[in-house]
Amino acid sequence: MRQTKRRAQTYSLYDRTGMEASLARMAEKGWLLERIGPFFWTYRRIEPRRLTFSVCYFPKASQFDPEPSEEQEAFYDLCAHTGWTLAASSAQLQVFYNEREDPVPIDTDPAEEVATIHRAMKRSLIPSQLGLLAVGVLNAALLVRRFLNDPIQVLAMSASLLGGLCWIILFVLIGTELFAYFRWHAGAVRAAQRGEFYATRTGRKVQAAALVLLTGALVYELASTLLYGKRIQVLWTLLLLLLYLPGAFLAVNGIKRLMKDLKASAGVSRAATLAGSFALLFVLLGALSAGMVFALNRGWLEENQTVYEYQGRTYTLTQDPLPLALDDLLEGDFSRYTRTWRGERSPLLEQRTGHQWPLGPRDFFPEPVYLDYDVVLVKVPALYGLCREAKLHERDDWGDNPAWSGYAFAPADPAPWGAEEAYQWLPGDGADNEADNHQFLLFYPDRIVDISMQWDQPPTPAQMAAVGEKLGRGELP
Amino acid sequence: MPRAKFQTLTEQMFYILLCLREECCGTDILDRVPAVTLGRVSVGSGTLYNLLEQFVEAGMIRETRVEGRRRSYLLTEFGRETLRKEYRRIRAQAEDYRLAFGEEGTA
Repeated sequence: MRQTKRRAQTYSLYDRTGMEASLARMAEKGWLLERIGPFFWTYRRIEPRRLTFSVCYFPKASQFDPEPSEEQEAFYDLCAHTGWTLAASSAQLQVFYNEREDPVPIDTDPAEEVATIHRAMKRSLIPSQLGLLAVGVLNAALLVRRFLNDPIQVLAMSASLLGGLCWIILFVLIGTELFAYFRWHAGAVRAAQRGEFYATRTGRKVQAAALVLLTGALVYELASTLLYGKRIQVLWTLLLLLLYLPGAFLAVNGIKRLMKDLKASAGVSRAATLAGSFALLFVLLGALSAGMVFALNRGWLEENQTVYEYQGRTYTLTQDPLPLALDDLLEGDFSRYTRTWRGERSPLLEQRTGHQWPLGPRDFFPEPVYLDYDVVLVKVPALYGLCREAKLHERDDWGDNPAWSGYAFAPADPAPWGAEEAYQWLPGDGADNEADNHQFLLFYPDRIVDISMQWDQPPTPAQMAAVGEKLGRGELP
Repeated sequence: MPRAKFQTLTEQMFYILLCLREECCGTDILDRVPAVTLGRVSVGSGTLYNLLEQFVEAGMIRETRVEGRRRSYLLTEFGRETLRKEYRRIRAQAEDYRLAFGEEGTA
């Protein structure tokens, strides 16, 4: 029979009422709190019995204290005198239990209790939540800026969507937590003026909803990366999950524990933990990045590659499966062309990019041709208008480049492409460019195709039809 | 409207200060207050700890002895004056009551 049990604690830091009731229920089931950890509370088995619990706060305590201060011990002595035994503590949070029937409470003056809780929260809950809120605002601002610059990329990247979702959830959680705390505090101050205690409460429905949403999003992101990601993305995700996150946890807690064992003062311990954790995490991230670069250089992370040699030199070709290749459009030998198919996918959009370029000595390519395209697959129809505008204005700042000065998208006939709308990238005089670069923006019911066909002849109707069939309506690999 | 700190005393503050007319430590106070009031008033250990700290800061009591973690305190002249003011206030209240209801109302 196991002697200890761990449970996740979901009460707000100031919710003494909820914690006390929960601890009393656990004691009646035969479990007594013995340790408060960062994620879990640990209980030890006892004879099931009725115990009275008191959750109170010692504002001067810090998580970096090597051991309880003399003042804190003096407080414990006073509590022990009235039958209160310390079950566990963590920084300011102190949990006592009492075996006596109807014991004298630790706090008998509501005004003093509210003031003590508020002093403790001003040193813990409030600054930590406001700090997180500040980081959240900064990240949200960066995300909004990226969205304004390139909405398609932000919406197509499930990692950025997940990041955005995380910050929204964080805002809601912090907002409700702080709002609930200040509302409780105002009510508690008023109640204290009447000489009454005021019960605390945790907004657990909001917490539960946030947790479910966040877990779902994380599982989706992880599964999507593992299932559809390129080898490099899978490896990086696994490294972060299996090495970096546990490493970060161990670094912070390991240094904190070491400082406590060395009996360092709270100030030294705080500084050492911050500096040490930062340095260790920096080194760990550096090591992981170096490992990735090493693996990339060795070609361990490359997929779909073939190699050919010519005059003592080795040429590595990527041979990703492309939805539309030069072979579908032109006659010729494209075996020494590299083909890459990259992109991002999210539940809202997919943005995929295909390239097919010659790779090797010029001898093999007397008349090189190039094919580049970008397909935006819109999975949520409501976003189509936004994506359309974004694509039409994507090149607004290209005018700064002398090569494209005066160019703009001009309407073209969509029929040969099988599209609903078509535009060609042309100079102001409307003449087809002479740079062997025929660029078109094509709108299909559920996707947008941006294609550049770089060879001397304008696309033929057959080539246009092939583009419509393969990119405009076909399945994307 | 919140009252200014220690302008008037709560019952618990009053009895803590009353106990400290002679030197005693925290645990003595925890025992003496219910004894003096025949169990009518009890002071919690957390409340006592906070109030002792605030009384020292306000100069109403002073620390007289430290034996390990056990600290003893004694009322200062300012503390005695505060207690006296509170006594007068309570007496004035009692007098007002007597005037309102007469002697038979106190039975």
